[in-house]
Amino acid sequence: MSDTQRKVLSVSAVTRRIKALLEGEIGSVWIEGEVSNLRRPSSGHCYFTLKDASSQISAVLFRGSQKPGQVIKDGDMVRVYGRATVYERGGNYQILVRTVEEVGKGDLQKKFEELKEKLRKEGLFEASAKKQLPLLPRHVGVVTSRTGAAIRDILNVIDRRFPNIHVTIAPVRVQGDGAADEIAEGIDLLNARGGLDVMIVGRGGGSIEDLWAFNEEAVARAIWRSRVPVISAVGHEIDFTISDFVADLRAPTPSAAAELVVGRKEEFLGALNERSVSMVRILREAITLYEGRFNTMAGSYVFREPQNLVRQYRERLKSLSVTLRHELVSSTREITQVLDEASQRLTAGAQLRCERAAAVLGRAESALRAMNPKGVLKRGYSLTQGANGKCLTSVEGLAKGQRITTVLADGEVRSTVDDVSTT
Amino acid sequence: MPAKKETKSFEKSLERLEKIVEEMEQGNLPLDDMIARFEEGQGLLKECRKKLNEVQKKVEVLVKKDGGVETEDFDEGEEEEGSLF
Repeated sequence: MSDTQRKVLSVSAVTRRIKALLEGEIGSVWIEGEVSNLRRPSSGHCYFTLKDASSQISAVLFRGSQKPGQVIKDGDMVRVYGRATVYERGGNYQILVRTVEEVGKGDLQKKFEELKEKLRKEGLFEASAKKQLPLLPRHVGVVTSRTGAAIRDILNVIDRRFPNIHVTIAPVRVQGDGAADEIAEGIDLLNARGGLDVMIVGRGGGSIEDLWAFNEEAVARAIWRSRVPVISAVGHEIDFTISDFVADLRAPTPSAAAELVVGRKEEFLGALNERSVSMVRILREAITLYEGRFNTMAGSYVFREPQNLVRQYRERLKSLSVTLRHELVSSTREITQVLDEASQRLTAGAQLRCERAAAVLGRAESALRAMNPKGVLKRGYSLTQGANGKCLTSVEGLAKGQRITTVLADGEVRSTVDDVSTT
Repeated sequence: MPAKKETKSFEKSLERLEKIVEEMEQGNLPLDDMIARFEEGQGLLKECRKKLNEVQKKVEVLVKKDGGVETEDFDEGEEEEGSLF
């Protein structure tokens, strides 16, 4: 077709025709629906959407048409009388409302109350039916949108507080038609997968319509039949959803749900670290004490079984310092920075003391080796004992005829004194 | 459920640890016993930490493939739209 054959209309011309058609065909009508997405800009006019289960239509209530004292709000069920028209500038159709009549609570609210009552009677909210959350969750399921804020918030919390967790996400749509069925199937699939310790079902905040899937029976039933404990974590703009009532635990936000999951684990880890630090500290104190005792005992003890004693304790201290070093190494990233540093300081302190104690013992041992009389005897010296068995260090008191014993490296000589003289 | 049993033994280990620290704290143990307690404590700590951390961080996502459900790694930076269905 050439341009001359085509009938080309301007946008405005088409819009005017649509408008004429719509206004002529529909005219003024009564419409019943639920108010949502209500906006009231400074102009004082009221813009909102009228909706029912499957459709919605824009509506405007000009300031001049508003009845004094009448306040409409989101969720209200209303009957409006108005004229269908086209807003030419925006190219959309809307109802210019002249009269608004309220018809009780919004339909959604009514459905919510009805379902809540029904499920309550069936026992789905019973506290006795709530499953316990695991103390050591290892595998966590998340039923939520793959791209929403909820999954990011949950992963952030886990990353920050206890990253060593296995997370499996069942990606679902969390609003719009069919969302409830997807959420329910996600819960079922995670159950079928097995091995999960707990699951979070939720989404970030939104309007009552956005959150509606979590008020649907399909989701409630899926949560109810889940063998895996469920934490419901839906937004924060409205108080509760049906999911919250059925779930084993309710969290106000997805982040809070993640905190509930990892919190107990973190608590345990804290308890472990505390014990660990205590043990190292106590042992360090004990070693300090023993080190002191060694220093004072070194002189007297060594004359009996010196080498064995020294060796024995040195061995023990050595293995102890290995244990302590091991403790240092096994403190991996799960320990918070502060505890890590504290534990390292303590361990290093203990180790230093062990090494110091070992050095003291080492010195004592070589001193003893040097003092060992047998070594001296081997070099040609001998030791003489009087009749009473005491070592003689002077000729004083010795006289002719007395018995003495001379100790050599490989034996003893018993003799009688012939003569005594001083040098 | 095996996880429950493990939790129980975990709590027992923690209890024993507390007892060990308490005994060590009292300070009247001979060094030998002190070291024995310490070693037992280290063993328990190691065991408990292992239990806490035996799972490495892993984030995966369910995907429908060839009529079944499989898992693939979840890229946390992704902006890809989509759901299982």
